[in-house]
Amino acid sequence: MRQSLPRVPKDRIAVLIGAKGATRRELEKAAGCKSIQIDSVTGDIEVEWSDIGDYDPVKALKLPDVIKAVGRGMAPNRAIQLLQDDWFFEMVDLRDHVGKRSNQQRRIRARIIGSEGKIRKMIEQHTNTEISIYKSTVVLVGDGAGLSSARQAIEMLASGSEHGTVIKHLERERRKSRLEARSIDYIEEKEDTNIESSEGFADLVPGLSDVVNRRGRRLKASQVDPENEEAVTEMMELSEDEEVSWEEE
Amino acid sequence: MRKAIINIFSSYNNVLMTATDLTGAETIATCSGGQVVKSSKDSGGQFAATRAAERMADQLKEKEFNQVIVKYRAPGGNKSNNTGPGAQAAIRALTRAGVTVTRIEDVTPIAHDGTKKKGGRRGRRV
Repeated sequence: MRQSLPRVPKDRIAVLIGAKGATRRELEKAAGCKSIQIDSVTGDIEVEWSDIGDYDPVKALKLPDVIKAVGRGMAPNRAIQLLQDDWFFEMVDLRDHVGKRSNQQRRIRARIIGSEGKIRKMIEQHTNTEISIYKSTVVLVGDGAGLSSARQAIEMLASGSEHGTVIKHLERERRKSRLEARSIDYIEEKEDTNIESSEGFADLVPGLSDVVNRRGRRLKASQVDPENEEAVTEMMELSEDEEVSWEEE
Repeated sequence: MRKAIINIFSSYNNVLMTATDLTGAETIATCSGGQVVKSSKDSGGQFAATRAAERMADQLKEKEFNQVIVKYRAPGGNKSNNTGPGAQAAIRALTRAGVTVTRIEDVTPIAHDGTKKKGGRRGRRV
């Protein structure tokens, strides 16, 4: 299978290839594909996967995101973590918040990074994500829960919230996620209507169905038919060691 | 060996899956995250996607399809271009269920400058 991917900006081509193709080879190995062809002039990328069934389709789903992340300024060894399960990719475009004026974009970039990268580092540590800021985009790579709160933080910063508010918000989110981690999380499932379900529990435990049947039979035998008067009187008669008394406790 | 196309629409709130034949005109099977979980806040998640994909695989197997082309998309247009967490989980579950994926394609509609995003001038106010 051949897959052609979106182009990479010119100044990131060299990073994607690496010294004598070292990064490219590393990517090939991590994704398990046959070859990645990178046009070093235009930045066009083509990936060749081996035969059907030999490659992991989830990796094929994620490799474009990895390359996009590298193209958007992330270091390859950080972007490669994305190939793990449960790691997701997200891109926030600053143009959606401040328009296309480059001065405004620069202002927002500066706000997200903070002095000496303080704010960015703080977001990364609180949410356990990797963040890279490049031209008008912010690329986030991380696991599910952290990623959504990191994106919220960045969108808050981009739309004008103060740094203090954002940090407070992040701390609240982290406390909440810690609480959730302690309690057991469960998802209720709808009953299957399409597919006939198996017997359920009785199948899992060997011999359980026998016991259930025996118990049912015994229960049935001890029941009395209310229509049959003889049987009812027989049941109501007390045997010698039984008595009925009414006393106050 | 019969081939089908599985179209996966994955947003943050739900995962919709439709299997069609190669022309894309005839629907073979459908399922969604909302059909398999009770609370709607879970219906875009990984668990719901996995369960929905398992059902899809069952329906496909019944109709003797064993190869699929996956076309996945995010909402796109003037909405988010990022796929939700469901797409990945669904594809993983499909392969686990014994369906061979021959090709994967991103078909998110990307606007070359389209219509205005919803939310108004002052943005979404929560």
